[in-house]
Amino acid sequence: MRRLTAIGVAAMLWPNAALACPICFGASDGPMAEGLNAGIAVLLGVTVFVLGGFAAGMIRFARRARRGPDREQA
Amino acid sequence: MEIPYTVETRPDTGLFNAKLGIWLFLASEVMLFGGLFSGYVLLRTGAIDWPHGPERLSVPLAAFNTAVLIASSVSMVLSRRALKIGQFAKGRAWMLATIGLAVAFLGVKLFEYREHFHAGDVPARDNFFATYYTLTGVHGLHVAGGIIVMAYLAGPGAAMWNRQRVRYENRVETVALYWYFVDLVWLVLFPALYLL
Repeated sequence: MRRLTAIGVAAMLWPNAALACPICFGASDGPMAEGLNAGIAVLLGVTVFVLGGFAAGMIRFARRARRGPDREQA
Repeated sequence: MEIPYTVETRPDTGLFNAKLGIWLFLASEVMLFGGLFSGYVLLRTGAIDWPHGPERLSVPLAAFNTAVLIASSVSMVLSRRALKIGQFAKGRAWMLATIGLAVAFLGVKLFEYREHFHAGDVPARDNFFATYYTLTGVHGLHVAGGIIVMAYLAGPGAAMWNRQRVRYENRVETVALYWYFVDLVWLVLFPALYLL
């Protein structure tokens, strides 16, 4: 517990040493930052695609349920 | 108690259980490969120097494998069609052809791996080979999984054709959806890894 408190106090006194991202050190235009942005964009695109698919499926089910059964084959 | 909608479609969704299940599974698979692909893009875009695929990998072998996988999708379609019109022997023969093509794909992949390992191109060499082995390895495991399931359906699982024909057709349909997905993943991996 004492050790944890000491680490916490040290982090408050020297905040630069406790930066969350030790890779780019604030250089937002470096290749690593560009790569990070591209990776995030790809994963975001995939997530939007999957969630969009879920939403489209739900809308299809709702429409089908409203219309009544057996009008359309799977 | 009997589980409903294992054979017939549910009236409101228009899907039987397994088909809904395989779509949900494929959604999770898209996320899996999406995460891996995102990591690949991060490393490649972030790298100061990244080798071009043709410099390190064999494009003719990969192109051959692409043709093999596309052919396996066609044979899967033919298998489903034959089963749909009641031609079991023909449907099973096409499924066996699909298995054969899938085994050929893995054979070529293992040959590629062996050549790379002999040349010292192991995953630890650099990020290029680390991502190459990770992406193609996970895809290869999916191909192997498909082979196991198809071998079951063409072998011991085929007994269901005589007892519950529609249910058997449904099973083949879900495996086919999975197989098309595995092919689609390769069609993304091939240009990304080998051509760019």
